[in-house]
Amino acid sequence: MENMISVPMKARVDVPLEGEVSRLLPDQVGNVAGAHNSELQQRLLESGGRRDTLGPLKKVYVFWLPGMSCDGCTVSTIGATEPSIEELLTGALPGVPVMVLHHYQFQMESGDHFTLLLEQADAGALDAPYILVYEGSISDEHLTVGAEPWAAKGSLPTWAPADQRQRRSTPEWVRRLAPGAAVTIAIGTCATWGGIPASLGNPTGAMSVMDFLGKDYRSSLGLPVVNVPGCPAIGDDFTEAVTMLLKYMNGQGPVPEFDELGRPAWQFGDTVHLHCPRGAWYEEGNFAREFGGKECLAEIGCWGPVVNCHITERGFINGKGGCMVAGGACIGCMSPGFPDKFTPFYKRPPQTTPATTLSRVHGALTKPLRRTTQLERNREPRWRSTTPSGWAPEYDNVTIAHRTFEYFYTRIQYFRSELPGRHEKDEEKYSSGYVVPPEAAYGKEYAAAAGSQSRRGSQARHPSTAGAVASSRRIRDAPSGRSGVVTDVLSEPAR
Amino acid sequence: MFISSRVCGVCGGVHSVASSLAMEMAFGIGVPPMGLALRNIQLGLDFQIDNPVHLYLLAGPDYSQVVIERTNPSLWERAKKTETRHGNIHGFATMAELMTAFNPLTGKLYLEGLHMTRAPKEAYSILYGKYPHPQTVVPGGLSTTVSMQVLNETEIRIIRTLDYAKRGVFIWDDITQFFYDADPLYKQVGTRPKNMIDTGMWDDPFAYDGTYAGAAEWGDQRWATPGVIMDGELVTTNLHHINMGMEEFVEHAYYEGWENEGTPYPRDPAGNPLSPNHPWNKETKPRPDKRSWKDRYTWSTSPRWDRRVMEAGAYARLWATAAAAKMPHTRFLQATGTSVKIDTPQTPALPAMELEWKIPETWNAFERNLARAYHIVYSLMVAYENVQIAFDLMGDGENKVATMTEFRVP
Ligand code: SF4
Ligand code: SF4
Repeated sequence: MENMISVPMKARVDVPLEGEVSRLLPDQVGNVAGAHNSELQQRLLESGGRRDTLGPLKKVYVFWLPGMSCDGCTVSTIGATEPSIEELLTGALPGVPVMVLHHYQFQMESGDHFTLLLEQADAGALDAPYILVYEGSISDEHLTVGAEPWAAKGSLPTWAPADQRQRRSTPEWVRRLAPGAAVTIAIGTCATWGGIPASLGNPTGAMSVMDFLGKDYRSSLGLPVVNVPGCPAIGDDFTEAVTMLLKYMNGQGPVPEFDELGRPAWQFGDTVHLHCPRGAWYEEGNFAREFGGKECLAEIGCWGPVVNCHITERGFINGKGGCMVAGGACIGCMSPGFPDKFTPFYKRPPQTTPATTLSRVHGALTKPLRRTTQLERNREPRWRSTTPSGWAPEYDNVTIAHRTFEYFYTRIQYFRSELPGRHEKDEEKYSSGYVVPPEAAYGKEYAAAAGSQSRRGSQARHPSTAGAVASSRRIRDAPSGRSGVVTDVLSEPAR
Repeated sequence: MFISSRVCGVCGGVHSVASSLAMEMAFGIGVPPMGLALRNIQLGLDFQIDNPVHLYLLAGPDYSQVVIERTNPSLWERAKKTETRHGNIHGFATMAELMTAFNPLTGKLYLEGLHMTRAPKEAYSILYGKYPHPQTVVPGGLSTTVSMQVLNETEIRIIRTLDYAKRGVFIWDDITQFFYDADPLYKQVGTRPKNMIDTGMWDDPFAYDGTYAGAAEWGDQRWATPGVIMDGELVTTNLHHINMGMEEFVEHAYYEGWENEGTPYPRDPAGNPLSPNHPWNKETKPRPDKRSWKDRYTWSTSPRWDRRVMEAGAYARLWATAAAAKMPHTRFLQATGTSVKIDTPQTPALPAMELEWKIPETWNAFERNLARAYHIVYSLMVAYENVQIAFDLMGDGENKVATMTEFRVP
């Protein structure tokens, strides 16, 4: 067997042990192999990745620093699709400079090699502008003077002997890098408002980036802190905001609009209730009484009507998901004051009862009227007294009282306006003489059977499918162990 | 649940389910089968994000062309000449091609690793609102509004991910075998004692009753068996015993001990003794301090089982399940005592195939990655089978997703 030549692995720890000097030198920046991320980005820039020359900027560094965070915003950003993180990293979009991401999780280099680029940014020695992204809340390092910081990145000065080095806290990095940054973006509720780490009883004095940098902070482009809140932030909200900013920096787009709290105004202008798919249940006065209900969740604790968020419109990822879409009540995770101002969860938010009572009254009036029209509209003009469907209750199931009501309601509804549609009295006869079934096709007996079945209630099924449904037992109740009608068919290719 | 989820943005969903389990045991409430089936889907999908990210974004670059070419030039030469064993499945003809695909940012597998976390995240968001930090976990089940539509959309995404997951097993098998063949000494990279722990997961939809007293019984019915492995031997599968052995120490971390606070829980509800260092008795008291390698040097505490360091996670789960052979034999999954067999149906690009993960002889860095690749398929198949169960339950009209008894906080 061919023996491989083993090259000594220059094993290093994050910070050298006492008395130890970092074993790699700055000109060998990278991981143990001397490979580093910027090198690959350079490959992209020089090779096919980016031929387009819209705008003067080729690349922009993005420093993503973690404070007291759970990495959730990183995870949700990986899922973004509008645009995707790959598109930003590989320069796929015309007019948008390549994003050279310097992220603590995805970097090939670590330790001193990781912080080197940050130091260069601090010294103003980078060859392109940079954006500072901060995830997580800022810890109050006054509480840790003389001790290990709550949150830190690297030990400086780089390459110095251990006894001359000091851990550098993440707030310190922000203090140094924020003024030179083209934009400072706080991502996630922790970074924008304080979030969970800043809730009652926290020992770290956690605060937001805005609180930390103060009202007068302006980036080198003259912008205050940009806030993309959320717990976690919606990945698309972030990549979209970054793309708009990158385009603007590159002279390819307008200044993005931000609201009074620094949120992208086009994303956070409305409450989540306004786009909620359950909104009409609210309007008609139907409220879920238990978990899993499809109605409005207001009475089991939804804060949607007062929270700025648009997850119900955008979806959480690739247009899919969203809290109330799936059945989860809003707990205000995008809002300042989360979580303390929204706990205890699953209790009715203030003003819910008067508001839902009013919509119940409104619903009680409008619902019957809408149902009447709906029932009538849900029929082809040809089917005045019967439908050709074997599934549904016949139209003549409708009670006399309902018909009488509908008759008068229609008079009022169309008072002094024209009754739309065609006005045939009976089943429509086609010019060929064809009459819409059922009688013609299946005979009277069938029609009678279908009719009597459907009269039992709207849940009744077509005779031939009712059998199939009934025999589709739970998998393990079936005699053959684990199979049912549906599952038998499915298991064929698997075996 | 909402708060505990936010402990971690990578595995938050698991934390929120864990706290609903805790509340269910405190209140003594069970979960309806539909709730459990949906919860199993959730816990299956949860692994479709961190596991691929680990394999292709974090571990993958270690085996990439940019790294291997420079650290081990002769190995790279060999890779250029070596044909892959499973090229017909994953499409890489030589090891060098495969390794180039591992390159960060430019490699196909790296970019695909980013992309393939999306389908499962979508499925997760469809059922639970968002990922991470699901919005529909409640004590006694879920608050998801379940319908044919959401089950269909979930199933389709699971199948698409499964295709990718099956391919992953062969990619990592090729990597492992290539390094073993190049030099058997690679088997020593990252070796550790075979000490592993897992609490199991995926409660059987018809066995779980939400009681602490019954934990030993319903634990054995989990689709991943709870277990502790010491030096390669399975020592227990009893959830009570696993709980009893847990301890947490802060001697080297920036916290004060809690010796003076007394021991609120000297015994568990079943009467088993608990250590004063058991997490239930713990109180978190941070005390920032200077770093000293001899004394305190970290914010992380040291969890131990029976005072031993244990590995946990994807491979511990597979190992305990395989060794115990106690999980119910499901339609697609089977534990044999030395392996787990995963029967996968056909997927868009690959035929039906039976995959088998065998407990490895040596325990090293390569085996960890390989086990993780199998675990992705395993957890996806749990999710897939539970979608089928959910469909059947729906056919029977059993749509209840949560227990809504008016429980009182004890
Ligand atoms: S579920 Fe919430 S956001 Fe949706 S309509 Fe009801 S109250 Fe509004
Ligand atoms: S709907 Fe509410 S809980 Fe959901 S993401 Fe928006 S603010 Fe957060």
